[in-house]
Amino acid sequence: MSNVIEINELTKYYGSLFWKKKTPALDRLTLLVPGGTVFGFLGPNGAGKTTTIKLLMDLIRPSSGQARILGEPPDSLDVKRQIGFLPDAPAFSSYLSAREFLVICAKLLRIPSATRRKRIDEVLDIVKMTNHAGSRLGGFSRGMLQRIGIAQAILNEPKLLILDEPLVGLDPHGRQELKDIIISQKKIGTDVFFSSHILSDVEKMCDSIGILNNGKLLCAGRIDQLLSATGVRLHVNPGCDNIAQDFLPMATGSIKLSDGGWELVFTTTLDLTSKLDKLRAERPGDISVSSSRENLEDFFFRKIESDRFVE
Amino acid sequence: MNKRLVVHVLVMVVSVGVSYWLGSGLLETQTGIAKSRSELSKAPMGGFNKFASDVQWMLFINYCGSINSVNEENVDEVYSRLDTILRNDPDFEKAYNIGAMMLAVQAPVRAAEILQRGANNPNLSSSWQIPFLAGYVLAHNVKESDDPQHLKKAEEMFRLAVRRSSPPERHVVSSLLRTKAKRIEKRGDAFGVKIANDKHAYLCAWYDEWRSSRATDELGGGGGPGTQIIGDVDARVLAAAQDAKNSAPDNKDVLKTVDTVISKVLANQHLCPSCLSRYNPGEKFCSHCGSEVAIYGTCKKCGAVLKGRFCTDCGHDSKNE
Amino acid sequence: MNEVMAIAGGTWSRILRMRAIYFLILCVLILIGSAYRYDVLSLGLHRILMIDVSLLLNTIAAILVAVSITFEIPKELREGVASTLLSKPLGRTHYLVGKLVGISVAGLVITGLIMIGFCLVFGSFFDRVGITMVQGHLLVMGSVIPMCAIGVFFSVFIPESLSAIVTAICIWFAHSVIALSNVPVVYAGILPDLNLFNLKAEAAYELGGIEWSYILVAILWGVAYSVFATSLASLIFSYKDLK
Repeated sequence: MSNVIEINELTKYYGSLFWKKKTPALDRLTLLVPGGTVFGFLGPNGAGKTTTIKLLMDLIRPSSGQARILGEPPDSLDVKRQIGFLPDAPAFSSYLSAREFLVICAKLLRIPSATRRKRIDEVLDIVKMTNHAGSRLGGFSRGMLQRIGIAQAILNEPKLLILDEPLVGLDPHGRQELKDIIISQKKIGTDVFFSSHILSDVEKMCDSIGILNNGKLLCAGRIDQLLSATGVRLHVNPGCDNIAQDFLPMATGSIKLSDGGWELVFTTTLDLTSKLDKLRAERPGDISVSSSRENLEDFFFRKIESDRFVE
Repeated sequence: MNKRLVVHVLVMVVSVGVSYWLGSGLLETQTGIAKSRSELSKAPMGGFNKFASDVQWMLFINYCGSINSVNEENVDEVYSRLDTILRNDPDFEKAYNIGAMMLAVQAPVRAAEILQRGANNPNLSSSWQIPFLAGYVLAHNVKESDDPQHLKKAEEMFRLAVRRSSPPERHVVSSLLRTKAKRIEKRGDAFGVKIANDKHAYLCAWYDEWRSSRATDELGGGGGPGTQIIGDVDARVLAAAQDAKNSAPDNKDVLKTVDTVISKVLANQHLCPSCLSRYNPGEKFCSHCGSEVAIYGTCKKCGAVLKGRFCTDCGHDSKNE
Repeated sequence: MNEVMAIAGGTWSRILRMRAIYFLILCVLILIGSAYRYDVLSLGLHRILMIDVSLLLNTIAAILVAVSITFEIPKELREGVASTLLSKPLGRTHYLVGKLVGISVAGLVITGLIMIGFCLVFGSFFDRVGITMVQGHLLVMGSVIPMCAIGVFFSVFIPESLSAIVTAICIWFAHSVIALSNVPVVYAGILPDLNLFNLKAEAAYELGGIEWSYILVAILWGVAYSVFATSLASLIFSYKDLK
């Protein structure tokens, strides 16, 4: 399946026409998002996720590089007819009712007037906001606005849904509903590209992820491939600090436990395997070795941490 | 990106061109509609000059109510307020009339200057009061009102008032002629004779006016088109001639002027050679002064007064006489 | 066009839904009517005063409407409403034109209501409503379009509180062109000459002589100038990063 998003060497410096910040918000980002996936775009605050999404939505202009969505440049109106977008902090005209706002969106999306009302009713039903259709948006809570944001994003039955932090501001019930909506969109063939901080949700919903830090892409790929790189977890019992000290330089992660013991994580290598085999034979009571498959959270922190060391 | 820039620049250039073209035409038309706009204050009033003028007018009325009279102490303030009103609204007729007359005694030159501004305002071209008042102030209130230049200006203003009032008010016409006479008197001669007194000058003024109405202006008094609207010129010339003769019955210059006027202006009228009163057909003596007059309007055959073509006493036909 | 009208509809409906607007129109009409009571203080010029006050208040209403757009656009940009709309198939130029059309329609409705109200008030005090007065008001209505364009222009690149001030100053000086310059290449071309819409004194004095063609051409000038201002605004806006 072809890529729905192609980003090539995209760089963004913020600032005015005459003065630019020295550090780029986005630094030569190259990313391909394949079709048929739910893509999670991860990164700490200030990593450049929202900047990337805004560049994709043509809300800001790149300093250099280019992006294509569904094979077209981001400023193409044809492309915008095929995508749905939820901004990170959805804000709508407060004087409009939910329905009026959706009517404006429907007009912008050129949804025929014959089917407009029906479609609006459908999306209001999907986001469970039918009862609030006539209420002014100005009186809505953050969660309700988020739902209306989703409603306007899926109004045109988009091919690609771009969601910026969609789970923020929702209560657990709302989060679950939104996840269901995303999954249902995936089922009907909509590709989803979304950024999030909530890694457990991303792990459950996404097929692929990309991790961004300081404007640079650390890694991207299918989530099962990224997390399949099995490692070794070494538990060192209390009082055996000398063992821990020997292995610490090779560890990709280490924790000193409250009971005085150590938990070390390694990426599997031949050298390590032979060393551990030897240790297991010599001091079987002091250690325990198990294979480890990282969860997304561990993977994320490891990647961010390793990027920090590189710097 | 470049395409966007080119399209925008193109649209801007075309729209600026169109708006400049339309704007130039509008400015020209507007000058024709708002004729007094060039007189407007240069202060950036945001287009609310008229309203500013209205407010200042009401404050002016209020201020004038707070002072007993316009005197040396407040004359500058009154002038300043009035000037501001008129700079913001050069078409404010009432402000010219009332305001300038308030200044007329204490600051006649300023009052006259304001009134002349109003008189020259094309939007007030139908107002005869403003030029009349301007002429009045110049002729009577200005200290150097005997100065020929002031008199000439006053005369011009009165003439403007005469032209604008239709039919001209009697006192306006009278003011014009009296000012003209004053100027002639100051000059000392007219129509080749020396001016004996003010009544003689007044007669000369009327005679000149009569001549001007026939597009002849030997005195250069600024007659010409427009003065024809003064009605009853003959009767007024006659009255002036009578006054002049009565004032100096033995003065050769006066008599010469009177003779000239009678021969030119009143040639068809039957006047008593002594007092210049009109007399009726058949009368032998003037009913005013008793002087003998030449009989006219009688039947050649029987001497009866003719009432028509045929004599009512003898039936004589006077057609061929 | 659909997109433009969708944005425009949202804008004018926002303004015309505000009850305060109708209350203000009522206050304006009361003020116009109260000019009748100034007959003594104005030495009998209350008729002229009433016409002048109506034109003044109508112009102020038009200026306020134009200034209101300088709050709306920066607010939408700051809050991200504009981003949501622009993520739809809506060009930035369309967005600005939609805003301009919306605010202009609202302005025309408000100034039109004031004009009609004035005619009713004036007609109840005096025998007849002169055509010149109506023409004066129509010119004020016509000035709404370029004034709103000026508002839109400043609101795309100046922060909201400042853009309102700058717009008001610009409109003020554009009305005071006669005091500043008589160079038509600059004024009426690159800089706005709103004095072209100012025949208030002539309308107040009912001098007549205002041709309908003048009003039409003045409105056309307003539209042409608005195209220029909006196009320049759009060019600046197209390079602007949105929140």
